[in-house]
Amino acid sequence: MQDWLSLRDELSSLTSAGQEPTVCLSHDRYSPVAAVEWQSLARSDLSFHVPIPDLYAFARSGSIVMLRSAAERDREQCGVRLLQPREVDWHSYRFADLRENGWRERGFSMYVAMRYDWSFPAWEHTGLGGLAVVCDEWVENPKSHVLRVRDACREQWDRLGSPWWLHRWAMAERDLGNDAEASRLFVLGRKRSPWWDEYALG
Amino acid sequence: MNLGRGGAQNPEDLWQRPASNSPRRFSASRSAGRERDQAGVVDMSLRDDADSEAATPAAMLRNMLWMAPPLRMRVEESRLVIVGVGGTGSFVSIYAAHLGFQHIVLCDPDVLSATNLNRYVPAEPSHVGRAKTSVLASFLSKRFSNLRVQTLEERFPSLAIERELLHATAVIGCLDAVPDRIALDVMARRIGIPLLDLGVGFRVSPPPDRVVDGAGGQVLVSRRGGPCLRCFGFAVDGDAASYFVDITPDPSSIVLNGVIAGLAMECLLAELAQELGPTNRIVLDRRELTVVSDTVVSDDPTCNMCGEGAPAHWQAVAPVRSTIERELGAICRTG
Repeated sequence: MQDWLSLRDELSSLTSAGQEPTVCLSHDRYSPVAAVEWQSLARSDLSFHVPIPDLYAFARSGSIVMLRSAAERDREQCGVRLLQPREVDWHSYRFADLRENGWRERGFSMYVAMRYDWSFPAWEHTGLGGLAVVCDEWVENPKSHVLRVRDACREQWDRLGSPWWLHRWAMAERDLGNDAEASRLFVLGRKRSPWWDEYALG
Repeated sequence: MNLGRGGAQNPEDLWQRPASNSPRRFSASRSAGRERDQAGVVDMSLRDDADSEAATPAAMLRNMLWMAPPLRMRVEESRLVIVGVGGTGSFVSIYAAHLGFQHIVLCDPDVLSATNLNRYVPAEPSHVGRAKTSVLASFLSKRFSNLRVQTLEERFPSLAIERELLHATAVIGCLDAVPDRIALDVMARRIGIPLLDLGVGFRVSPPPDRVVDGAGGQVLVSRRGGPCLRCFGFAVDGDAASYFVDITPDPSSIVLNGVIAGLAMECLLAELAQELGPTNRIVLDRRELTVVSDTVVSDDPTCNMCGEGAPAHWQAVAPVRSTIERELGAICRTG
């Protein structure tokens, strides 16, 4: 159930900022926009594909950005992961794009977990414009972006003890190449919260 | 088949509320057999297990004797859609039937599991694996001859549930996932019916202890002109650490389910009697043994669900594809 009126305004802003976005439509009655794509302003050979979640603009959004790049080195960039079938299954309930395989058809197989909004518990939607800025920040310095994510997750875990934050902290450590620390956190998460399904993803 | 009753076939027409907002009265139709239409709606009024032991209206009268005639009429004429018939939703439906509501729609995609039996009064162990809606509908249909109960084994949002909401007097939301609850709020606002959102839970102490140190629940009344669930404090994708318990299986309480369902029914009756006024939140604190009702006022005029421009945003939900192509194609490429 997307608020495409808000989406339309955000796309206008992107266009005004010099982007040339493309909207990928879905066949889902309640999530008619599957994804929005644009090219990196920092690197012309890199394209972003942003799956638009159900409830867009009624919820916080913009957590996954997929990449299409001809450069092999992008596979080794900090934060980049190849999208796995089990992750697609896991997130499909929120994204029409994943349900309909639009990302695959358009050649996007890598993704980066982007978080540009850590405010909570109040709802805040900052839109595609804010996400585009973070995407370009990541392009210019991938490690700095992931470090910021890691620190925020660790802080929230210490404060709240939520398995959600612990899981994301572990993912960030993995992105940074700290495999031992990532494993330790996954094991801790499984032990503390065996009922938390995301730990099954490893 | 039930969907033929005024159900618009053109998706564009779906959001057009019937000209008269007054609830419609339905008489029980009974015949042998059980029918399922294309949308998966089972009309339990066409049940094969209806028998002479079903309660007569007179037997149920005691639950209605105290009601003023206008309220009683409203109860009899109302159509309730209950989205989510787990622990709390099952109590809501049972209370509603006992209070004299005669048209109830039960929506839930889940089947009964063994871990539900601790709080699912109508269920027997042999029912494990059956649809929750089916278990409830069978239970209610055997007891209330005048009750017309429909079941939709679907996850919200769906076209079939949307169609039922178009003709509903009110919707009772007993959903777990916050995004689904927000989505139900958006749809209820678009259609123009009140949503009663129910929730129960346990409060967990901060790290490192993380033990259950409280429990309670709330009934939120979300209606046009008042705050939306988000402005009540819900956060989609927000932190829910305070409500998750590191115990498998997680704890639940039949008493909490029943109390919150009871409070919701009192709210609904007051709303139907036009006596609820601006009150829109009832909170139960189990440890303090308190129930507090108050009025939350929306303070965000920019909110796209309940702020000044909200109606335009409700209308922006679920457009037809040609509209999207026309509107978005004008500002960017659609591919």
